[in-house]
Amino acid sequence: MKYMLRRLAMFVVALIVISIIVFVMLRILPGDIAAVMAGTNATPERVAALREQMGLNKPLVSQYFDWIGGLFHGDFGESMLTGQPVATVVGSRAAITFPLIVMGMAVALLIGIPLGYLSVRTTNRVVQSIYQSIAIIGGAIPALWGGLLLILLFAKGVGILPVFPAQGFPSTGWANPGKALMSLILPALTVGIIVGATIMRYTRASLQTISSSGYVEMAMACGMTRRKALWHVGLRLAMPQLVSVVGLTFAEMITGVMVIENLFALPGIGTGLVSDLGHRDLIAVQSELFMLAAFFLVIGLLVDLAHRALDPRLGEESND
Amino acid sequence: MSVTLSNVNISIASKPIVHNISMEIRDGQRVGLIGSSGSGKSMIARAIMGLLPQQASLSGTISVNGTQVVGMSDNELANLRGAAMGMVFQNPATSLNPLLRVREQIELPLKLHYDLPSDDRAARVEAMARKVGLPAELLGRFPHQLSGGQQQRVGIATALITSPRLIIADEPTTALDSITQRQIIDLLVSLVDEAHASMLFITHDFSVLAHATQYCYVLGDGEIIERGRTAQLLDAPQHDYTKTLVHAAQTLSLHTDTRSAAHTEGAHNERA
Amino acid sequence: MTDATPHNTQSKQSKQSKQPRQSKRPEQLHGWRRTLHRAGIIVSTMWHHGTGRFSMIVLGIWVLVSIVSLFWTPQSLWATDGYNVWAKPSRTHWLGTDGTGADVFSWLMAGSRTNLLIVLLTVIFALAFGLLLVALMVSRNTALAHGSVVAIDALISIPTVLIALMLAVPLGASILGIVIACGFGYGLNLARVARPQALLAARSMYVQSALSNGASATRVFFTHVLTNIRPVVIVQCSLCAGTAVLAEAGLTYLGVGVPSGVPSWGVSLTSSVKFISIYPMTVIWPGLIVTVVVVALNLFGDALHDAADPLSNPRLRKAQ
Repeated sequence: MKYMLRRLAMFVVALIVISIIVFVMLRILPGDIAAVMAGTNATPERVAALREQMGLNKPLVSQYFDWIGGLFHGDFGESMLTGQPVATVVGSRAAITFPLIVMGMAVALLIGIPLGYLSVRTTNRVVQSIYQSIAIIGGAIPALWGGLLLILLFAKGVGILPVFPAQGFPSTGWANPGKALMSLILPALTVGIIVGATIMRYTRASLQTISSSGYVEMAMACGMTRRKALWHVGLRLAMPQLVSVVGLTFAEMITGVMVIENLFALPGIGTGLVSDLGHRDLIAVQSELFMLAAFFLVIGLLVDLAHRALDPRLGEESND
Repeated sequence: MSVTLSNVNISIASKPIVHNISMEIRDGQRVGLIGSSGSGKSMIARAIMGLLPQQASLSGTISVNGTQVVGMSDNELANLRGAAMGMVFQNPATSLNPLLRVREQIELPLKLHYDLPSDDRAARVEAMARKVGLPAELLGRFPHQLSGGQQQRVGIATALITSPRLIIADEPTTALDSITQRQIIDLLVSLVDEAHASMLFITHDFSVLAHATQYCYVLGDGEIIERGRTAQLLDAPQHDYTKTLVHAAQTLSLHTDTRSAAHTEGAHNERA
Repeated sequence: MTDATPHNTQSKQSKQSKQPRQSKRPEQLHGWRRTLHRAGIIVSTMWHHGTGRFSMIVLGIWVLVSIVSLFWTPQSLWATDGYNVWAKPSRTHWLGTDGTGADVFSWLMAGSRTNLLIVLLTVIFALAFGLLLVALMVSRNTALAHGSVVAIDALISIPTVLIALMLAVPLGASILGIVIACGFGYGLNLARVARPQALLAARSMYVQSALSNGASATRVFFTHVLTNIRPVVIVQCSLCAGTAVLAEAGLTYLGVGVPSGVPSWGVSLTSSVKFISIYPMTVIWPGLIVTVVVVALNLFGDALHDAADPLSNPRLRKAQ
């Protein structure tokens, strides 16, 4: 209980700290931000108008509170390039990124947990080292390269087995779910395979420790086979730890997701953020960075709470 | 149930642990296996249960009621474990599943082997808990919320819930203080006798053995070096190694007996 | 076994000093000869294991190529072959040219040194930051200790790529951005992983007795706590090094890593994307190099961990 309160308080503190960092990062640009944003061949009037619009003439502290106050009211600012509200833009991008993340995670879990379990279950030395190699090599592949290899194998146009579209998202969007899904399969596979290798390594490590523990032995003494004990007792005991790991891998996975979105030309959050940054659309960048950071802070919070809920031993401990 | 081991060899990662062991546990008999730590006695217990670590190799014959269990598949062994034979482990803190409530832990063998309606199962669990002296309100708790003695009672209840004909107790009292030790042994012996089951009791402590067993084997360096009725072995040990063990037990038990007698009354309040 | 003789005098010395087992204390390590001797044993133990040898060879080649590239590359980095902007692999251009006429192989060679620099800086930063956090977490000030634990739990869920993107706003694409972003993330990770053992050591009887004998907290941290978490730290550093190589590739592709014009594997990988429709097989090389190096870094950490731990290395035990 004490931990949860402390953890919640820290979540709020982290949120505030992140908002300040994001804000400061965008103000310590050398020179006039409005001039940077307006571009090199903008008229002085345009720069002045922009400065007024962004409130850059006000003191820094009130600029910060204006921004935060806006966030509380759901006002994330407007994109300088398109004039659209940032919230709308991010929403439409999330409609691609979110399914991609979910599909990628599903692939990762479907690969990582069964392979991790199988690698502990087998007694054959050779098979064991094959599993080990899969885990190590899979986790060492750069996302970009993995994506390129999959394109070489399966993409229409260049692939050996041309099944999936190589790039882009259908202009019809999710109105045509089959087509939309097809264009997400290769990206999701790329992300999923790489993250799956990491999850496999952790599953293997924690199952290995548990498999030689008294808990699995006890379950076997009650009448389970080794396989059943490993699957039911071992995996369940490894679960709290795995949830933590999956949460952390999730945060790491986002680098790969951004790279893959760019490679496959999917107009998702990653692609958008990178292009906004390239266009110096700093109002959008500021809100997008904060939203993403907040999203991951929430994920982290949920993972920590789930970890505690899954292990009764952590429930009422006073923490330490 | 009778168990016969003949010419059993166990090695782990090609390092021999147990060499050419032959033993017999007769129907309804309580047999002790004594040896210092690392002498391989736990491995013998695991060999009978089919719980040897995966890198271990086992040869010889172990016949349980006339059936050879060496070479049995894990499926066949799992059918015996928890039904025909039950095991009480050395340290309940590291063997009771921390995620199962006491009730779920005790009913696990029942669930795995018998298809009973749940209220019938619950009734059996409650009756068993009463037998081992676990108050009913503890059934809803997790193992880490119990004292060491209570945890071991859960371990015994789990081993006995299906009324197996053979109980293997692997140093069941080593992790406990001397007063609780005595209570747990008395409990185990009375329950085994009541059920007319056989027991293999493994320990490194002769003072414990005298209470728990009628016959015993002394294991040293992976071989049986002496065997006989427990009382006789305690009176007149032949082998030097046995003499050391007996001597150690006598000096210790003088100490424990005087203290445990004084404390038996208060010992029921062991709930932490 | 050939070096059995020099051990004997050493082992006698240490037996006389009657130190308990967990005592790789600096008092014993004083002589540089002793340190050198131990290092020799560790290196030769690693060399005698397949994975250790593989990783040492790969990392050795990496360092060697980095040094050589400072003085010599097959083609000058800035020489563009105007007639052959898309040259196929040939005797003059071993891996072809990249579309601007620059030699792919030379750029890969020169990239080694940038990546080596990034990895070293990242590991140093992560180590310094991580150990500082460990010191905070085991400190006797409970508010500080609890606070830092929860702060790490909260901050660890912020993905590296987000930090890199935030830094990219003022810094642009820069090596410093990669180093800070990765070092920050892995520092948090290191602290979180090392905490249980650090806490165990910090609350142990020998630390109690050292403190009551008047040892300062700083000294206790460096002699006792640090020695006890060394195995964990070794593995974490090697994982950090591997992930830094991967992050460099990803961040550079996103335009917030190594700036264009500076050779790095990420730059080569990014430019290889263009090859895919021209001669696809050239895409293989930059990614393969990154993958092999990351595998080697991870294996190196494991091998070093095993070889440097007296519990798992009997030869080292003899030399104690």
